[in-house]
Amino acid sequence: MASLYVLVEYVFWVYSYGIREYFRAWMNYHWFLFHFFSVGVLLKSLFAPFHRLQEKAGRGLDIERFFERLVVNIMMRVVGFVVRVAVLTVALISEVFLFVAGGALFVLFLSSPVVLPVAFIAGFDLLFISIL
Amino acid sequence: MSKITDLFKNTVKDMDQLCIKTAQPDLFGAVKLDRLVTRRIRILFLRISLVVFIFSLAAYVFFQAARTIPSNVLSFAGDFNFLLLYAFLLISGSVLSALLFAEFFYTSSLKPNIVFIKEDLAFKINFDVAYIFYSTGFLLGFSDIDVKKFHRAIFDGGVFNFVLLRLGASPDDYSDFISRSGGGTLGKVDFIEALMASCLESDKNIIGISEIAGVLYEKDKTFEKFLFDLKINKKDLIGAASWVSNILGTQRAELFVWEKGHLSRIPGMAKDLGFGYTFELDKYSVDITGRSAPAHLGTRRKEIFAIEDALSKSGKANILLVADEGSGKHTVIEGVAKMIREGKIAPSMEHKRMVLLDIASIAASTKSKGNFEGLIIKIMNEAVSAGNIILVMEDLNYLVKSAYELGSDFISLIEPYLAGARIQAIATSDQIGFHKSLSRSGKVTKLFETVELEEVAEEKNLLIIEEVAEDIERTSDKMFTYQALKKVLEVADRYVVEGVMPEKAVNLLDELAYSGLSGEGKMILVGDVETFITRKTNIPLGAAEEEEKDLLLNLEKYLHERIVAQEEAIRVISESLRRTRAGLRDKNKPIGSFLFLGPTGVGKTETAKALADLYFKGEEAMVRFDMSEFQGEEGFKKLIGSFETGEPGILSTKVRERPYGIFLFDELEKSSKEILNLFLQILDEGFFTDFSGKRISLRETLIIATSNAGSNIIWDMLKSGSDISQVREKVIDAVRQEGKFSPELLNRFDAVVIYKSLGPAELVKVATLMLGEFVGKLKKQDITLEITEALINKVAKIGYNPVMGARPMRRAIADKVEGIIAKKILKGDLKRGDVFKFTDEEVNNL
Repeated sequence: MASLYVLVEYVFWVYSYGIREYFRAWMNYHWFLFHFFSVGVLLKSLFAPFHRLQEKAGRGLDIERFFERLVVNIMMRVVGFVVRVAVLTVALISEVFLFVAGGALFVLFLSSPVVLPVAFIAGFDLLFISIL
Repeated sequence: MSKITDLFKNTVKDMDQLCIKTAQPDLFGAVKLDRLVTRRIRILFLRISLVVFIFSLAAYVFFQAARTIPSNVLSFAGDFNFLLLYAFLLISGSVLSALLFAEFFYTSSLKPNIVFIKEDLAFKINFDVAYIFYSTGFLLGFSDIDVKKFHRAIFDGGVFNFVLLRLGASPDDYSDFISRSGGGTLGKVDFIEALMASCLESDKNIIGISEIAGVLYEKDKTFEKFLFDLKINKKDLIGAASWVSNILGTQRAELFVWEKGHLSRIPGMAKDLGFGYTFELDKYSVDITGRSAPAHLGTRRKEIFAIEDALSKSGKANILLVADEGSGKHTVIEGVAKMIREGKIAPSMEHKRMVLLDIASIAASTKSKGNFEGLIIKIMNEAVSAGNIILVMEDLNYLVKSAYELGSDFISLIEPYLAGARIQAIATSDQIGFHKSLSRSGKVTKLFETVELEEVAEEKNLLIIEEVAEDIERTSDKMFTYQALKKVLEVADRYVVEGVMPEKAVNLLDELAYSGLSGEGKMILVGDVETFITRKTNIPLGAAEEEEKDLLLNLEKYLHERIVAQEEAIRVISESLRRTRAGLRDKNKPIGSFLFLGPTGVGKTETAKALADLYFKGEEAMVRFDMSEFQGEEGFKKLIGSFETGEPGILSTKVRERPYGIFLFDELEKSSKEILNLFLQILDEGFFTDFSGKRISLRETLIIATSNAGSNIIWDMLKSGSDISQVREKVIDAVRQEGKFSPELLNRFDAVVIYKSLGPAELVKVATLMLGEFVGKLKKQDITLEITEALINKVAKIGYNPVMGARPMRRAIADKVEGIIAKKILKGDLKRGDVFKFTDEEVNNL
């Protein structure tokens, strides 16, 4: 029976170390998303050509070649920008989701000592009502 | 330590020097939860509630949607009892959340807690120890420990049962021991002190099951006796407990799914978007940043950090890893890749890709210098423009050599790229290749920073193969005992001549697991390792079998069946072999080393042959060197190999082919001085270093050197009736003075054995033996030769030469006796089943 005391310990833990641990875990998942989507690299290279693809200048001055190269290189940068922004948008949506879901779970976590037993009992109550 | 004991015993006030920080460490939370509901059951319920919750949710969505769609088919949805669904959602949802939060609580509580503090040192306990402490109320005061209760708590904790299994013992035996044991008490303060001391000894601050087991072994004599009866010593007990502790520690670390170490293992996306494509490079390389690393990175931490440091400090830095095959080059490279993959690397190296160049496919697709250089330039250009490549080139020395054969200078080809900061490289080379070609190239030394891998310390080898054993156990149905692992390490080092440690041990483990050797159950025991090695190398390990025991105990008798006289030589050799098999010899030296001195034809070589036949099961176990062929500098190179030509030496090759047997060096005094010096090392340390710097071990060989030096003295002294021991001293003195062998060399032999010249009576015995051999040969053709005394005397007479001893006797039998019989067989005078006897006339004409 001494082991049942763990339920009381759990309640103490939730409002002390539990909160700290929860935030640490939450922050780690944010860190994970940041790295998973390579946010740092994508931001640093936001306007860089797509996969570094670009035309290199030849020898001498050729106006036609110059403009041709200019257009190609601008296109490559635009494509790179669009792809990176697309990935960053997915990353942002994931971050928002993590933030919201994490927040909701945190509320549940904090209220778990009360809410979970109540929900469990209410569930059985409803079960009996629906059967009877 | 004793000071603290006194403090405890005397006053309460002074106890602040050593205290129990808390009687309720966080770990107890996890222990209590486990005791309330075991983790296995919690996880089972978690899965069930998850499934019920998902189904309930899906049903809710379905019925809600069905209600909104006006359709006859879905009309039943309108009558559905949603209360039932809500009930399921609430029950399963609350159980699921409760179990999830419980797991979070459990895992968070699993980290080791500080429990004991002594002066400025804090000692933690891990979960296994917390279980025992909780069950016994260990932290509640300083009253004595009830030993029986303590053992019961250890048994109930379960971890120690795994330790016993790893030691080849049964947990049931332990349970019986606890039931039988009378109990008793142990002083708690002493016990805690011993735990702390044990931690300090192994330079750690976490008290685990290995410390508990070790201290109990020390303090509880009945427990020591119990383990002693199971042939388990303290060192093995602690070793096995540490191994089990490490395994459980790794498994528990997997529970921390929210920790960065765990999350970083999930491969990211879009990492390459900021970097260039590498189509051509990808065709000829493998990305190693993405693949999983081998287990034993810990043993190479120093080198991994050194490479990270060098590569991150300067973009121009490149690394050349120098080490022999199997000594951990891959581990180091995989370690750097793992750090990049897990994001635990210096910022300048984040997002780098380590690609291993596939030299074989480059070589296969390029036939000419032009093709080769074109492809390399293309690959290098791509790698440079990609901007995040660390090129890994294995066996750079061979790559340079292959390129050279095509007429290309590989180093000059890659120099402009590697000299810049846009690409980095890690190349590898073995010791020979490095010293032979790379270290002499100025460009290589300018471009690459050399990192030489030191040999892994012996105790770390055990950690490595413990981890490898875990991997092997996952894929095979076998389990290794701790003692078996130790045996593997020992025998791999001693008896596997090829390769280096720990690779030799790792390969041996692998072979053992899939050999199908262990007939009884799944456990691989020490005996299985010994049997396997004996089968593989013919080296008898383990307790000497009956037949072998008989041979060893009667070796003199068996040898005398082939060797006439020479009692001293046979006695010395027999004693040496008996010592070896009883485990009394120095394992860092050859099995035995003897210098046989004496005239030609007195049985020196024959002794070696007989020994090979009897003990090493066949004369082919004897490797013979005529040392007169190894004279001067050339002779030395011929023996140990030549650095210039890369040719391996004869001795190195023969030892690799036959690591266990007799090495006979005939006429040692005729070899060069360098070779005699080489023998100093061989006889003293049991190995020599070949031309490439590799150690070649002769520790499982019996070394016999023969020499005719001092023959005249032996002859003269024995003729004048001197005693053999006097002769020995005189001969050794003479040999030393003549400068044939240095005193150091003579002293290093286990024994210098004098072979006396043979007298007429002994020659008759030799003739009898040799004729006996010939009779045996004829018997195979079903022809019986009757040997008469006249024949023996005649052979003894014609087969003796004062200079050559009994050596011409075999020739005489072959030429004369065999000749006559051969003619008779050919003429048809002798047929199968005939009995033949030489007439007196035939004997006289021999």
